[in-house]
Amino acid sequence: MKNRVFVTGLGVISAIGNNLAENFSSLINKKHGIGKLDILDTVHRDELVCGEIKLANEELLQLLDLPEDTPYPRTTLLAMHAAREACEDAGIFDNDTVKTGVILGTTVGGMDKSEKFYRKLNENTDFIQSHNCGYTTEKVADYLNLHDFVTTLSTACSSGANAIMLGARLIKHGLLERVVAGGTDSLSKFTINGFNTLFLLDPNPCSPFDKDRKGLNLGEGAGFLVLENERLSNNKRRYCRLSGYANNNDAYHQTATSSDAKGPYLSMKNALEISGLAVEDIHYINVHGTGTENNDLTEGIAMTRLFGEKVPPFSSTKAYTGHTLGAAGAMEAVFSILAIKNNVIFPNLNFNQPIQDLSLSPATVIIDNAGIENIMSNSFGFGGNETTLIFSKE
Amino acid sequence: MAAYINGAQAISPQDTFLNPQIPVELKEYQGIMLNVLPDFKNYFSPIEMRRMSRIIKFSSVTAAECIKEANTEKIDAIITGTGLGCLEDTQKFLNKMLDNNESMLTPTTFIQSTHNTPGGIIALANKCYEYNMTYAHKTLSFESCLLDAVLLIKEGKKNILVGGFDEITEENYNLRKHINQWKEEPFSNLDIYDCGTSGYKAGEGSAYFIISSQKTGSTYAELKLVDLYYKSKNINSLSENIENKLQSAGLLLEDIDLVIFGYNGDSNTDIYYDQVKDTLFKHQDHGYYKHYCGEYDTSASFGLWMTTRIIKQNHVPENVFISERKKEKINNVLLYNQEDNKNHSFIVLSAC
Repeated sequence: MKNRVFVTGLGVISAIGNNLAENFSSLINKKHGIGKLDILDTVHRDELVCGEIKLANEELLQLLDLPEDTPYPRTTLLAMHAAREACEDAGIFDNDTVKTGVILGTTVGGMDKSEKFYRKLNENTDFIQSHNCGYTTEKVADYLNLHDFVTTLSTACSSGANAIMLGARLIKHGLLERVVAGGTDSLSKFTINGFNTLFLLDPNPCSPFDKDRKGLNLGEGAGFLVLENERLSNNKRRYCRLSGYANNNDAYHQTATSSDAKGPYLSMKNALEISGLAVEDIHYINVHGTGTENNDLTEGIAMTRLFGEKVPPFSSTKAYTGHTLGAAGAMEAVFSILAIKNNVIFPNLNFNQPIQDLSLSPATVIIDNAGIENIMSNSFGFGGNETTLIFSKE
Repeated sequence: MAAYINGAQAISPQDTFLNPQIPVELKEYQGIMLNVLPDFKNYFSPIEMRRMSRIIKFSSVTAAECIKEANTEKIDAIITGTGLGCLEDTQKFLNKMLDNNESMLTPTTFIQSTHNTPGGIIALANKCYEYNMTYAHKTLSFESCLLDAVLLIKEGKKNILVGGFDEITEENYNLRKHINQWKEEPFSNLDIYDCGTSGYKAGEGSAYFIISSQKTGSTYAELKLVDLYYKSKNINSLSENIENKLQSAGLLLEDIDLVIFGYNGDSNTDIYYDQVKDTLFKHQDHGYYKHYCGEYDTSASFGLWMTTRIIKQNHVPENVFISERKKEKINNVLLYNQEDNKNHSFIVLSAC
């Protein structure tokens, strides 16, 4: 278990950009991607705002150099786009023989296509096979010509983070030398209506950690990391090291976090323990921060429990991208790594006043030269599924 | 660090629930193979009975009985695998959404549609705050869980609950008729081996195991190897992979006494089992299991349940054999499953 795990490639597509450079530019310029839906056809179009990627599936296929009649769901296309960028970024080429795994997190797989054709079987039956979560992982592996190991996790909103954690553990155990790990989810009527029935959606741009927060905005996207062992990454550009990770369960309620935030507290504490770092070593937390009443309060309670009076600077990037569910943990891992690499803290948008009883205020302006050595990234999901990742400069 | 199987329970289309043995009499199904279910009222409150879907109930009950059997004081992790997750709840929400043009929806079926719902509910029932993971990768969903459990044992965890489950619904069965996945009805599950026709039998089930770092009085077998392999280029690279992996587990090919194949009756893909059976494993005894449980994404978990009984009792029921029995004592059993010659998995259990 001595093997260290390094990040050597990044890829991301979201409502704030089609690639790494665009996403970074939006984050430091406080440019969000929340707005009316143009592509997804839903009756809630006029009453909701979401983080939609303004590329139609046909345009995504073009960008991927795939034939226009390729029957992939949008979730798959987004994953392929971000995974390809991550592999190019890490300098992985087609002819390379390193044993590489592809691990993906997603919540509803090919639902965007299933819900469209479920009652139109005479038009299309492809969705029957593209519906399952593993379909996308295999398409990504095939597209990148990586044929060693594939698997898929589906743990609601922590799926992407859990994919990265598994990738790191497989490398640590010496079972794989390299893993392309990430998360993906496209917007779908299924999830929009699901969150809508739970009254968890803010009809306006969300305001994470604000006293008057009204809920989350849904988004879509994909994020991928290339993780490599010490040997492979030795003479390459290393963004950072994945130094800590943990998953715990809140064992309290299917959709809400407990009032003492036991699960989130444990995942942060245990990740810290794995990394061998002390609380004061964490210089920035990219919080889960969905903007719902329950999440932000309990995440704040967990941070206070762990860090006491000295909660490090933190921010949620969900007001930029929306909550991208299975992709969120992976996209925010990418953002966290960009923060380490560029030594900046991204501002939390739409924040005015701290939550009563918490007195925690996120960073609201960009902090340059932030002296970041170690970053914590939180992802919490339905089923009490709580995951924390820690990235370290070296 | 060795890993042992200290609990193994299954609900399936056969009388397997709380059965210490593999049923000798096989139930025959001409159509869908549905689970033989226990009386859920013994396990759930009236509110839970109403709210929980069928898969949540049969998954929870299997898990509870497995924990009880292994007499595990503290569970250090819960790992679940499912191909399509909570299918019935997913369909209910989807249908209502389409019927009512995205209005008048209630959240329960949406909340319970996520793949990790059963795993979360087991955590809740056992107040288990530890690692909780759910894999959803087609026919590798369950094997991914086992692999993760082996890693956790190496990381120092002691008792891990691992389960695989999937449900079949009438609606999903009819849907998949459109892509010709099934055997044309009527077709008996007893006739799937070497039947020469395409398609397979729809099945379902749930099987849970306690994977432990310690051998106890309830130990069935040692879990020697779990290997997942994607897209072998040809039979040679597949054989090479198996031999290498066995070697890494300290085993030679000839140490394997019995190979249990995932034959599901689809002549288009069963040929890939034939290739391995007739080349690499021609000296071993051969068996299969999908005539018991049908085909579903996590059917290998049923195969593993069956193997725990075979090893513990050193007995292979006649129904399982596809070859003449050659071996007196069964020490090492290899379970091989594949889908479309693309997703391959190998599990080795050893007597201990």
